[in-house]
Amino acid sequence: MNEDSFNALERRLADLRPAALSPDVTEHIARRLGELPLTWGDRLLAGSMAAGALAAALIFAIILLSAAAGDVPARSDGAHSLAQERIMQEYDLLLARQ
Amino acid sequence: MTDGQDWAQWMQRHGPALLLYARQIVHDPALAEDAVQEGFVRFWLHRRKAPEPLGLLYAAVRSAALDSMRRRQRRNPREQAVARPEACFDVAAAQRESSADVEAALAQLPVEQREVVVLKIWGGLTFTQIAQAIGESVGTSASRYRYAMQKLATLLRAEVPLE
Repeated sequence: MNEDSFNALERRLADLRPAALSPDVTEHIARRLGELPLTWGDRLLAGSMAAGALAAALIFAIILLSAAAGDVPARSDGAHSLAQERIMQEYDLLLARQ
Repeated sequence: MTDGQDWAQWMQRHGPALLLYARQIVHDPALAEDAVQEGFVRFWLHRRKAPEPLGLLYAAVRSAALDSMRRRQRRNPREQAVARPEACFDVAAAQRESSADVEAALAQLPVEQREVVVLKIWGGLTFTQIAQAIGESVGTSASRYRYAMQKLATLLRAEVPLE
């Protein structure tokens, strides 16, 4: 078989177009690709994003609570020192009575 | 471009050749369509891992077609190749006779040669891609193609003279 007849046969075959797929096949593929579960890579990415969002929300909440707590530090420190002072006075009294 | 548009373009471009390829293995048009569907979905999940996506696509359809044929033969071991009620080619009336001759000639080739011809002529694959699709070497793919074309030339010359 020489090159010319080889090429002629290739052309003759290539002139024929394979029959088309039925539209059902494309519909089924569309449905299956739409229903496919997430790959492990996608799951990891989604998990990382969720963890990041949670961490950001937590940090934000801590900052808010700290800011709210920052309104009364003097009062709480003062109350603490008053209580300490009262204990020390009672201790001194006890020592004096002995 | 989104993945949704992307896969549809792949199907539009390669769908008919994939169906023709699957039909060389399973014969039954409905089973061949199932194999194309199954193979394409498998391919789409793994397409980014392949250096030659086209070779992987045909390999996935081949694997799905072989699975389908094995399942069918397990269910009914006596069942072999069945008649082909639908034409493999979409042709005008003037070409109908020629396409029937080509289908008949293809059917006389061993499946290993038939699939290489389909991959090369209608799939447009290179021998490297064909080798990937069928799991053989490039040299084996090329020599199968050569043998197949020589047989086809003989068969078709006997039926319809080449112009």
